[in-house]
Amino acid sequence: MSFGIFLQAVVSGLANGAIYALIAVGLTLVFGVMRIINFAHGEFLMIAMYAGYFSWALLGIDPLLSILIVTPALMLAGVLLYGSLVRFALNVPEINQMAVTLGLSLLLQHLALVLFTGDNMLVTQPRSTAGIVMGPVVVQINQLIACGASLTLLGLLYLFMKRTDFGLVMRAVSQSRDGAALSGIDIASVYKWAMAVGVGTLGVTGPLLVSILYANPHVGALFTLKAFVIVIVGGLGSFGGALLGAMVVGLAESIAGAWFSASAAAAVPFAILILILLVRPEGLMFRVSR
Amino acid sequence: MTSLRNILVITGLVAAAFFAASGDRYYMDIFILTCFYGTLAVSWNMMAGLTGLMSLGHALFVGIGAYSVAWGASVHGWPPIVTWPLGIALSVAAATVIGLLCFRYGLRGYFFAIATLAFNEVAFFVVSGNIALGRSDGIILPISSEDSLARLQFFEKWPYGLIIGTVLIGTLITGELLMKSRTGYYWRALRDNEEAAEALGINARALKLRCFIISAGISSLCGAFYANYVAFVDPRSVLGIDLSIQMLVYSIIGGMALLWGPLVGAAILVPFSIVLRGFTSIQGSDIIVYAILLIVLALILPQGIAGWFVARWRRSQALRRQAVRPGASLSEARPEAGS
Repeated sequence: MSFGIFLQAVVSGLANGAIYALIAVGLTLVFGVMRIINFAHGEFLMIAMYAGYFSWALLGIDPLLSILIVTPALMLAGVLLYGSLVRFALNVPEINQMAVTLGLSLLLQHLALVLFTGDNMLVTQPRSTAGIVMGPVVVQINQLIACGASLTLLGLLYLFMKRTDFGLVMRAVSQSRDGAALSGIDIASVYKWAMAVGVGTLGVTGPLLVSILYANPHVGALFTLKAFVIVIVGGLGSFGGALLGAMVVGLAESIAGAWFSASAAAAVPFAILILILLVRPEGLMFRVSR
Repeated sequence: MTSLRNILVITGLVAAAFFAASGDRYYMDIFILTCFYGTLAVSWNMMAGLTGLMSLGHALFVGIGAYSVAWGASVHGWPPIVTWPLGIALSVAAATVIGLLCFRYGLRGYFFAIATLAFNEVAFFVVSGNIALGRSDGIILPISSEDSLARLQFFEKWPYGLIIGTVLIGTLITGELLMKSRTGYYWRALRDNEEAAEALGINARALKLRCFIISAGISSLCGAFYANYVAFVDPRSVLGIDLSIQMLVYSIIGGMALLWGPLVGAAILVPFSIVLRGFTSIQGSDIIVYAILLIVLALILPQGIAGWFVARWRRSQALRRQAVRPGASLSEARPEAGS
């Protein structure tokens, strides 16, 4: 393998990693606050991708602008999800919680199959084919936009969690639910907002992703699995961990793809997960102050 | 004793279903698939419902069984009498390795589920890229022109029904004997409170591993059967996450606290899916229905359909016993549900 191909793999790996991070951060936020793993996380990404696609295909809205519509819509979806299902799932055993979100994932996938058919859909614009050439490395404009937007949003989310009262409340609930409740925090409202933010981040990712990657009913399942890998590799509930985990997974995947076959590259994230679970089950960046 | 009676009743029902279906190939197919998924769900639930270990990668063992048969038959011409034990041995070995690794670090709950899923996914992608295993196109088993018992190849479907029906009943009897043994009580103690069980001197790691191995062996047996029955395996059908999810769906809907609960789930949903698929042309309509059922039942009926009926039946029995005792009023005589 030439050095140029290796460099290209590193750059696309990092670009993918930034997008993975934004997907994983929603999952880790919801888990951190509510101790529920949302197996339907990727399906909301799939919905956001379709929303981005259709607002471009039917209304001619640039995916960059449709973020402004899709994000609030997905936040609302998060609130509805909390109010209709997750609120009740908090009181049942873990295995039933898993069944509820798995059931939702199956339901959304197959509803999408009925509504949108199994065809692949992609936003193609003049800038889709444009790229920036830096020596042996080519970066697509759209990839660069998605990567930049993702890092910006991650930064904003980080500030939101660290600097605002609401972020403080969320962190308090994730550290100790009972302690937070005793201090007069309205747990139900924190849960509702955690779902809104966790699902809402996908409203940014979806429209950006649909100009890079085909949308189809099963695209979400792939990302759910990758997001699991990332949050466990990074450390569940940790922001920096999600970013680090996403970069590790993105890089490993794209370097393995340059070296070996595509199916070997697809197995790589899971191999990393197994390694991490065996060597450091708490994840790379589990917060010391529990 | 009552549960041995349950096994007898279930054996009778399975036999009755077999004879009712034996006249028609379509019904026999439904019977065979119901037994296949039923056995898988019962074996999955031995871990999840009876020991408290949720696996999301159980398709791995089905895949190992199915691929052992398909690879052995297509590459070496090995008969099932060689490949079935091979598949089970490989599955037991895989379960031992995965179990030792996972239990050593005390993975449980979501973490155990996702670790098993990760092993399953690695196997899925490795098989999908392996030329000797037919990549994602799968393997078609060699078929000769005439029936052969040694190759488990029959034109009629009923011999397959006989085999998988026997496997199902064998699984239930094994499970029942285990549940009545010391091991079974330890498993339930681990499920209810692992720390307390360990404090009382139960070797959690060894017992969980035993459960994992037994469950994996049964799943692998089903996989081997599937390869011989369908005569075609590919990664999606025997290694896909959908298969593991199906085991969970049947168990939750049937009832996880009972050994035979998942069988009830499979007996309702498998025929329903097949019939519905025959009626509508909408792709995945059966999955939409059972996904809704899964969400609703997981929230409002956590003990599942079979669990609900058993609890009701026990309550009515207890009420009747109380009612014949003079002086006891009905309001006092209300035992806790499910106790």
